[in-house]
Amino acid sequence: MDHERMNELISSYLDNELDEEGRRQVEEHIEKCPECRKEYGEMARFEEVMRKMTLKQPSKEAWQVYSESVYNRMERGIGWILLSIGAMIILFFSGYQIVKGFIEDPTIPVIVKAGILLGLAGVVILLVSVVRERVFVNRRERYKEIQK
Amino acid sequence: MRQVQVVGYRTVHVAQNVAPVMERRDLSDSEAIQAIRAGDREAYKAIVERYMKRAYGIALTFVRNTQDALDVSQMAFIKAYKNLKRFDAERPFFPWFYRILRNICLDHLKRASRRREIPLEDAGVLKTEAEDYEMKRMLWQAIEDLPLEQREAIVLRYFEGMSYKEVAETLEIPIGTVMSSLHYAKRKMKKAIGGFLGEEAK
Ligand SMILES: [Zn+2]
Repeated sequence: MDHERMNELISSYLDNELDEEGRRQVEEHIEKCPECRKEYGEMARFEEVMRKMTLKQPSKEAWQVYSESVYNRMERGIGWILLSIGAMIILFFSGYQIVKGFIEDPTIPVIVKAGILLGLAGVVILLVSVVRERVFVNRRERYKEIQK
Repeated sequence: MRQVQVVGYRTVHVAQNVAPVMERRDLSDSEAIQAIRAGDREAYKAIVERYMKRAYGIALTFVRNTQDALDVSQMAFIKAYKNLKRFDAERPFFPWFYRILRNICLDHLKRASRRREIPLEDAGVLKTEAEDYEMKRMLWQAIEDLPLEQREAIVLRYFEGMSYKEVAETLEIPIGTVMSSLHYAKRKMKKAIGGFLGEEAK
């Protein structure tokens, strides 16, 4: 058997992922092949090192509030969507009221009316999008504070 | 798996001397999903609490800092919840969730690099003690340098303690691919910390 394939088997052997037959093959081979025996020794030390490797963990409190935070964030998400829609409706409505005043004024030319209308619509859209963005960023920041 | 008795979608924990705390926690993935679909939002907690540490760990290896890892892993749970309708309940939950999590992590990295927030090298993914600091730094660098699929396999195998079969399911690749991916990855990692392994052999 070629060494490349054997090295792969040794790797799986040490991971405890070989069946009876595979294990026997590896054991028999390293018995008589010094090169693969060396590979086995190195791999075994490597596995030893890897066993001691763990990932950094957050504070214990982070786990206690984790699922609550998921729910809170979901609810807040819905809350902000509703708020944005509500704000949009109110803005459009009050904008409409103001604009209506102009439109119904016969002394202002039609083209100026159209200009004002379009301009206002643009302002409303920009405003809503800015507010939305601000609110979203703040929410993220605040959330981060809580987690600390 | 603990023995549980199923009553409708709710599961009653048959405790010997412990009071039946939070029965929802005992729901299996598919029971919990069934319950959520039946309108019990709180049942999702069983899933979140079952996988939060795993999700955090995986996220950490992508985003490389604790705070962001908590943040993006929670975002993944929220996104999974919203998309639960599209989840095929016949299939295992975690591999499906893993794809959502990975996408969110990759998006996060893309956004971070666009903002030029390059994470400090070695902001700390591996738990270190003073004496092995240098080795862990080199080892982590070797992991970072792996192609994505190999790195994912290493993370799931070593840091999340998955078997080859579980890794294959999670990454949706054949088990043979897992075997060779891990093998190539290990060889590169072993080479990167070769000096340290030699010392240990003395
Ligand atoms: Zn050999």
